[in-house]
Amino acid sequence: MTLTFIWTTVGALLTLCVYSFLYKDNPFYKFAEHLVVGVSAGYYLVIYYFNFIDPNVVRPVFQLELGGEAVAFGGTEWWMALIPGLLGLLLYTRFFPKIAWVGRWPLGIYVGGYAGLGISPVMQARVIDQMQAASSPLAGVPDPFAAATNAALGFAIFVVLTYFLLVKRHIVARGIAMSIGAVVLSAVAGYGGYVVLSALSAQGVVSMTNILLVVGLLGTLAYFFFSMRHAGLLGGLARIGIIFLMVGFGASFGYTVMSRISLLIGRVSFLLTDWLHLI
Amino acid sequence: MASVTEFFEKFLRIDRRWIFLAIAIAVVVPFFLPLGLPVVVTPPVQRLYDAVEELELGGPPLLLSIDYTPATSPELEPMSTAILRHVFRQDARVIVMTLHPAGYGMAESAILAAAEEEGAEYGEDFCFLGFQPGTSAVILGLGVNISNVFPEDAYGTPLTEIPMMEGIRNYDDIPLLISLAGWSASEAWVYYAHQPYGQRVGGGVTAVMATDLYPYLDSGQLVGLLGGMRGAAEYEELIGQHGSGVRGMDSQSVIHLIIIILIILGNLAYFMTRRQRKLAGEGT
Repeated sequence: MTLTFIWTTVGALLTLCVYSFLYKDNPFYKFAEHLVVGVSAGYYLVIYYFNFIDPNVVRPVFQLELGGEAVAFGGTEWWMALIPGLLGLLLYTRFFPKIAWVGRWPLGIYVGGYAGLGISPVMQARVIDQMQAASSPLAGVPDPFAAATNAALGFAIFVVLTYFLLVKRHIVARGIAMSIGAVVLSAVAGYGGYVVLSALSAQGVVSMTNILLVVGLLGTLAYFFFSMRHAGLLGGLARIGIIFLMVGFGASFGYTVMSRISLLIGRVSFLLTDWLHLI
Repeated sequence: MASVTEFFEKFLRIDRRWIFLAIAIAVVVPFFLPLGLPVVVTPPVQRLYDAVEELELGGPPLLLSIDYTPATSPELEPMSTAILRHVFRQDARVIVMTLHPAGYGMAESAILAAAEEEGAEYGEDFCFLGFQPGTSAVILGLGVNISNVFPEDAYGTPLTEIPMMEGIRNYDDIPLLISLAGWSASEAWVYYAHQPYGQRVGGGVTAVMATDLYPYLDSGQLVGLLGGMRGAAEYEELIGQHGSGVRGMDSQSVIHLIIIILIILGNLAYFMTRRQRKLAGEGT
């Protein structure tokens, strides 16, 4: 029995302990849960010490060598390394109520430093560049996502028309034959829309992707504009915005499901392949 | 009609452990009976593949930041394996690092496994810098001088003594950077490496995070993107070597089908029983 097999078996048993929660809460699950927290804390402590505190504080202050040369703190005097080390220690004063206020100093420096580092690039990345990308021409440009966009629009025509005919025009109440006819008609209209849009995109007449982007952007912004009553043009735009938001949430939900299932697949793969060698 | 409604009422009260069991069966069966469903490559994955393909033989290296933890490794490990195989097969070089303490072990095992498989040599074809805390400060610091942030590699060797690091000073010497992350690290690379330094950044993230990063693709802030296990499977398809990404997609597809059926049945059950309750309410 090799060491690898022993540790793989430990991992497999812990995996089963965690999944036993799906049946009901039990001591095996609790044991695995506490073990993860404890092991993680110990692991992080060691990693942080040897990758951060040791090279940035301990070695420069005590002039320990690295590659034959004493380590300097960013090329400056050794005592400079004490300043961030001391600021880090001050954070722990919050455990002593009488001097807890001292802990605000390093926290203030930390928050201020990170805000200073972050504001400009984050503003540039999340606002300026995104605004620039949203300023897209609506016609006369190649549309790299034409196939997907036009297919989605064709499908949207089919869904909307089906709903309109069956529910709003009450065709569903007129019997199954009429209902099937309405669905077929909607499908033909949806496919026709797809064909026409594809022809227009192929000629570079319009970029439906960019049109969708602009309509979606304006609609979503309108939905979050609360300074006016959502009526008239603003109300219409806000409704379009809701549709785009729902599509966005739906995509996020789909991806979330996929992500969680992937984790399950990973664990099952571990059990069947690495542990039991069944595959 | 009454029996149908009765069925739906029972369906709404079903013990959810039956659903867990159905999902478990759906995951396990495709491992033994693969469906072999086709994997269609999407443009974001193709773009990342093309960017890696542009790396020159023995030229400036790729910087691969393996920023995921064991919790998200089923989605992201297939990506790192596929990308590293791709890099080594075209005799390009790679610097590996991590911004997450738990990413240290993940990065080390991924690079060593791929290097052994492809016959890559430490110090010549790849090196592992290890972990540094302070995400934004680290990313910004790498733009000034890599050896300021990582004076030595993960094993204590000064960067000046690693042959492949000769002439590699900062982002100017790195044609492509890829971040594989289960948290917001990929966005951080866009903020602090692409924006101030113009570094080309590619991403590989969990499926949960993919929708957050899509806006950066169209704006050109990300070169390409792998989203979840699906993205990994597409990359495996491109390099022509199927791994755990493609293998997992069969289970993924079957489970999606089950979930879609459950959603439809759940909605039908809700509306059918609601109508019945309404009718019952009118009758009393």
